[in-house]
Amino acid sequence: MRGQTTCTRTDWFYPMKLPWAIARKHYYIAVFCLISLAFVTFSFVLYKQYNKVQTHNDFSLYQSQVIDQSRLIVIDLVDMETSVRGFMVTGDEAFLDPYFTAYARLQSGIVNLRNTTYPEVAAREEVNSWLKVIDNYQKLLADQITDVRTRGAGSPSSAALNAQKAQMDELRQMLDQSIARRGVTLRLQSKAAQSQKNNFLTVIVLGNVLMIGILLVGTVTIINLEVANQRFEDAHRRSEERFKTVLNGINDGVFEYNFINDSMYMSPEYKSMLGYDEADIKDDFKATISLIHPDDKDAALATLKAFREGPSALYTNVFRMHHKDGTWRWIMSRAVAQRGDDGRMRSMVGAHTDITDQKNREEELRQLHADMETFTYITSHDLRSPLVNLKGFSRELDMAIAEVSDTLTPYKDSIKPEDWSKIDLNLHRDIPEALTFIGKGVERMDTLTTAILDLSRIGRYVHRYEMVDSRAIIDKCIGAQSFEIQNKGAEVIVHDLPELVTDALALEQVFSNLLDNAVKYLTVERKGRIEIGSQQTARDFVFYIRDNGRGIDAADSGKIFEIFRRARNTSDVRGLGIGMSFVKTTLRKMDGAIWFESAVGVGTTFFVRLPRRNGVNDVPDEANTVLASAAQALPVRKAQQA
Amino acid sequence: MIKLFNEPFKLVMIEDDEGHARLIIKNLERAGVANQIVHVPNGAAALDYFFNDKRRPDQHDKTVILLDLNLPEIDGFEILRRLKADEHTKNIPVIVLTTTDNPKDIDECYALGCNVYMTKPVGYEAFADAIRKLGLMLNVVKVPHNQG
Repeated sequence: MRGQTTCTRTDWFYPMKLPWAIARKHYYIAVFCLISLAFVTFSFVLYKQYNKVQTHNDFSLYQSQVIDQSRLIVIDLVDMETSVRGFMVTGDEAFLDPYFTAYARLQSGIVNLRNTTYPEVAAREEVNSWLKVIDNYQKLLADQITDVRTRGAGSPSSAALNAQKAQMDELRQMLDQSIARRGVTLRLQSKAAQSQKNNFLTVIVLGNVLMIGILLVGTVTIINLEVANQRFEDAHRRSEERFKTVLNGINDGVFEYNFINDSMYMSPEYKSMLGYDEADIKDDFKATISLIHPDDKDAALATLKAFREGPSALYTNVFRMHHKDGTWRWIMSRAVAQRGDDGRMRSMVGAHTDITDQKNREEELRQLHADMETFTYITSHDLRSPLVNLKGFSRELDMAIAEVSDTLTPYKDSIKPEDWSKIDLNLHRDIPEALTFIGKGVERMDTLTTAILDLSRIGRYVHRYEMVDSRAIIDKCIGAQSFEIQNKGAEVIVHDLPELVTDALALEQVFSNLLDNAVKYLTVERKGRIEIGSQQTARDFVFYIRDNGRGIDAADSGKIFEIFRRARNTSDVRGLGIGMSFVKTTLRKMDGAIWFESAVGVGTTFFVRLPRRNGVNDVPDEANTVLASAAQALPVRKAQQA
Repeated sequence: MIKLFNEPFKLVMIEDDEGHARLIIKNLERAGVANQIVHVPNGAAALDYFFNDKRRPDQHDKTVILLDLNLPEIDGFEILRRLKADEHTKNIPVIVLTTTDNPKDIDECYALGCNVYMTKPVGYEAFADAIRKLGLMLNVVKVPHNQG
């Protein structure tokens, strides 16, 4: 199917062309894979991006947690200092309550901070260093509380206050610095997080655009493919319906023989042609072959084999097949080869036609032809047999009359003069006259039967095709008629003539008859001029023989090639009207043709067309004997006419 | 010792056309053939002449057959076949004299064992001439000696 569509108008029905010879289903798979891959990649990128943002968030959270916890520690420390200072001034134990509360909180705060910063090595060490200072400061506060309790409240010494303040300041400074540093980090971090968020968005947007793009391209292509495919299928279905309608109409049986797996498809028509139902014949090659007539099987298989091994694209085979009703049907099987990409024959698809009727008619015709040949042959012989008697006894009669005349003449005087004159009339005029007419009639009859016989011989003549120099043959014909030509003072001009593959004997007969006619029917009104030449076409050789003779009346043109008929203006020339019918029959047998152009008083040109042949054939010996005797017959006959 | 066989022979002419038969006899006589000529007018009579029940083994000694092929009913080919297949008649010389000049017929006659094949010319002069020549030939023909 593919091979056919490329060379017909239905070309455009074939589905959209895909690069690299991808089939439609492959394309679907490719689109699916591409989309899946894009989806997975996108998800992965998204996940990575999300992870990055998440890490930033965790870090920010951690920083603020550390800042918060550090602040709590500072607050606790301040609370503790304030509380201790109040206690030192007043000595009131109640002022110490906030101290203990803050102290307790500080402990857990420090533990929390340590836990929080534990993964961060630098921060851990920093916290450790803080712990020492806090520890010292706490001891200082604890000493001052003990001191107030033992010595009673009063204005605290400035030294103690200074030490307290110094330590507190140091602590505060340390913590503030750390908080400030983390604040900076946090700000930087949040800035970075923001840009990460923006990237994230970009990735999502880009990813979506890409995915939708791929989906769009894929979908559009698939729709196009489907539409084209639908159109192709419609066209295909229509053409198949047409095909089926035609096949059903002409009742041919379709088959496909697959060489790869030796399987055979046979259409219902194929089987019904032989009277079988669908299930009656197995769909395999052997079952089909077994239906072929035993006499035809070998030849049929040989033809099939030659086709399989040969270069020919067309297969034709004719054989008989067994019909269910027991008769044999003549089948003409025609098929074309289907070749794979490697050029090897994969299968043959063709049709069976029942040609039984044609074959029967052919046989009838052949029989009729054979009968006809036998008939003409036997008739012409059987007709000749009585002629021998007619002639023989005419001659006997002639001799007897001569004897009677010789015997009677001496007694002439003793017979009455009136009786003698009667006898004399009979013996010397009427009887010889009658015998002459009988003789002429017999001769004519003889010529006619011989002509019929010769015509029947052309039918059996087997042509021997070989390379022939037509110039040599024309020269031979001219030579044979040179006496007549000189006698009439005619001029014969021969142009260039080709060498061709044909039957030399047949060609000589054709030319000889045409030249003979040209010479015979020249006119006394002008000097005779006969011109012989040729033209060549791609398929044929066309010879012409042109004379300036009396010409053929248009009314006679139909008679020229008919046996025993002659043109009206030829009565002064002897002839029987046989030569041209021989020429025509001979040329027909050689796949050639003859025609003429003529004008009365101007001349006639006969054209002889012969096909170009390549092959030179060998004629079997048996045929040669027929050929030899038949071939000799014509020139002899012609000589008799002349 | 084989005797020199030099006795005159009998000419048996199988010919359905009375006219031809007469003309042949006349022309043979003109050529000086004085042998006895037996005219057999058709195929059935010919078979009866050669293969009847009362025949003697030596009946067909010293015989030459002149045979026409185109005989109605039983044709010359069949007579020739029968003659050449029979022990007693196979040595009789057979001259086929007929109008047919079909190469196939000539070949078939020689294949069946005919000794001479002649065609009857249609022109009377040629016919008479051919018969005269046959007569001259018959004058010098020697027939086989009876071995039975």
